[in-house]
Amino acid sequence: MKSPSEKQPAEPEKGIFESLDDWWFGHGSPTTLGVFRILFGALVFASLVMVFVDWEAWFSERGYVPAWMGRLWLNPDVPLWPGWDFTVPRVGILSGVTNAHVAIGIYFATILFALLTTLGLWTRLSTILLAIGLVSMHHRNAIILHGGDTVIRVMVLYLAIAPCGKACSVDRLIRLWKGKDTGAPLRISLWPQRLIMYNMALIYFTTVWLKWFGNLWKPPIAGGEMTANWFPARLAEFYRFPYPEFLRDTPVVYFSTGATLIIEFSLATLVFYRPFRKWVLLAGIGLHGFIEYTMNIPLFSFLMVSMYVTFYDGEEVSAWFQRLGQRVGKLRASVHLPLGKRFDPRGAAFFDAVDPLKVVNYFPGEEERLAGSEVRKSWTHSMGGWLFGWIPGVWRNLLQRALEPIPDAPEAEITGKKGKRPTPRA
Amino acid sequence: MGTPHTKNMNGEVKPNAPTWLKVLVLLHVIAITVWALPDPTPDALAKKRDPVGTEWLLYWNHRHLKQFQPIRAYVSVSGFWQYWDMFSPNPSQTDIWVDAIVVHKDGTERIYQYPRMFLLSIPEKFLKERYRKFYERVNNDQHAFLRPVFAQRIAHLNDDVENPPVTVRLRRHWQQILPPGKTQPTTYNDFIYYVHTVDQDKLERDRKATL
Repeated sequence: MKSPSEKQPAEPEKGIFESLDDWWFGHGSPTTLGVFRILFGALVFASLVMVFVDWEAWFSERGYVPAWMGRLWLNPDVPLWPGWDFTVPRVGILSGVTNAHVAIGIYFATILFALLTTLGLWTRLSTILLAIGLVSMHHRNAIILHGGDTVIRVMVLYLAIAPCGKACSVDRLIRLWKGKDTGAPLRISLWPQRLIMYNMALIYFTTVWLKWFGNLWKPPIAGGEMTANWFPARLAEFYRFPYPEFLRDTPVVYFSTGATLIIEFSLATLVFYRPFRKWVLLAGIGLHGFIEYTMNIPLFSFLMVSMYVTFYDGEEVSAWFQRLGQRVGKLRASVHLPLGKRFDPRGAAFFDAVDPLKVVNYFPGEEERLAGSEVRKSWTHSMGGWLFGWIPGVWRNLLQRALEPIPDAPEAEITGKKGKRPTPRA
Repeated sequence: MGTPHTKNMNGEVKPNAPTWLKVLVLLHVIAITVWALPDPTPDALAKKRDPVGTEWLLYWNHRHLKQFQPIRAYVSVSGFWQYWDMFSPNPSQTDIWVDAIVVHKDGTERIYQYPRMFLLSIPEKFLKERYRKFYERVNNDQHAFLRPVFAQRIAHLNDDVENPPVTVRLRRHWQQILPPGKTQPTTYNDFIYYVHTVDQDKLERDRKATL
């Protein structure tokens, strides 16, 4: 008897270029990009709102950086080729704008596009306009930018070229509701996600490389002192929360300095190797968690950690959400639909999509109308329902419009005991 | 991992992405890598000594690839410019903050405290960190051209129509952080490093501006 492997010809071994090609440009679920868009969009929104507190100081003509100073700092025109007089302007709709009302209008529009990006509404347009607005703000005043801002700018540009509205977005829900999408899983080319992963690795790799030229990071065996972590912890201007005294002991400083380098290097290299991925990312979360707690570098750790999700395929992210839903019993809910009703196909797809944790189960009920408590349960337990379930009447209306009569339903089944026969999901 | 090339109904392999897209992605990856790679140490750049080890690669990258104008243009124009030097090559070993002595027309002096993170509440620290970053650059002698505008803004913030500011003296406070095992200083040094004569016309314009 032949073994299964003998029955079918084995897949030919792939060369390195073919494997790389598959990795960069292969197709997969858009869920990861959708989740990343929500996380990152929310952080961009927060960052932009934070700027508002001192908007006048940074972007007005009587502030610290008037328009001419911004242009002096960052030349707005860049030659395209050596020796050519022809220059290309940087992306910068705020470049040279001295009218405060125009500038603040563009700023508020950018905040709005950050919000729309987070929600995933008109996603393609919103992400592109967010990128234009944000890059323009950075090119208008680059003197105040820190590492977190650069992360924001680069990642927002990736969001603008990625199909990040295909999942976990209002756009997706609208398409499902209108029947333009079915509930079937979507597939996208993963190259934008790979670019985000690559750029994140580049951040860690280049910073480790640069640190290697500093004597405070290297171990004594390589001619260094390995006490780098001693210094930022003592800079009063970075101080945030207190931490245990033993962390200042010299052996601990040696250890934490070495560990920082190893973790950062791993986040640039080993993170791509699946057996190590989870542990490397957990170490990265630990590193950034400590930085966030001890040092005043607003949003930076959150921004870096939000990129970690891109190291998981969309299928893995969906499965993680479902496992989370199964583990947390309190999240589960049973919702009873009106007597003799079930979801039509687009309704089933819609209500399936708003519930990534898969914790809400819909059953045929015994009442003629939807009870208020059932309506409330169905949106409070569905993460996607939080978007608009709180608006009076909207969720009930959606539920009612998503229902259809069960054809030729035997009386006993329709009016049978609650919870016996679930309405089919998409 | 993504699904590899797919096959159509005739069993022919269908490319997973168009070739032009692959070329663009490759060029992008090259451009951001070239741009983000660290610069060699200043001594190596100034040819005071030869680069060491991997620094040769960075030296070559800096001298040739980073100067390649199309790469410069691409990353600069698009916004993909990036350079990652947080706490590197060495973390800062100096704690710095600034205040200003504002001299008014009648000769009175007032101390203006530029936002100092250490003195702020936690929410304020979160919101106002850009002040620290901005001052880090203003304080750098290479960026001395920022100082007149910096001081003029402080004059505006301390404006009084009846008794306008006439001079702003920027005063730097600093404390060196010593390595582990050494007694750390407890006081800050200070030094007036820039004196600005307030531009009264600009002050007047700023007074009238609504934003």
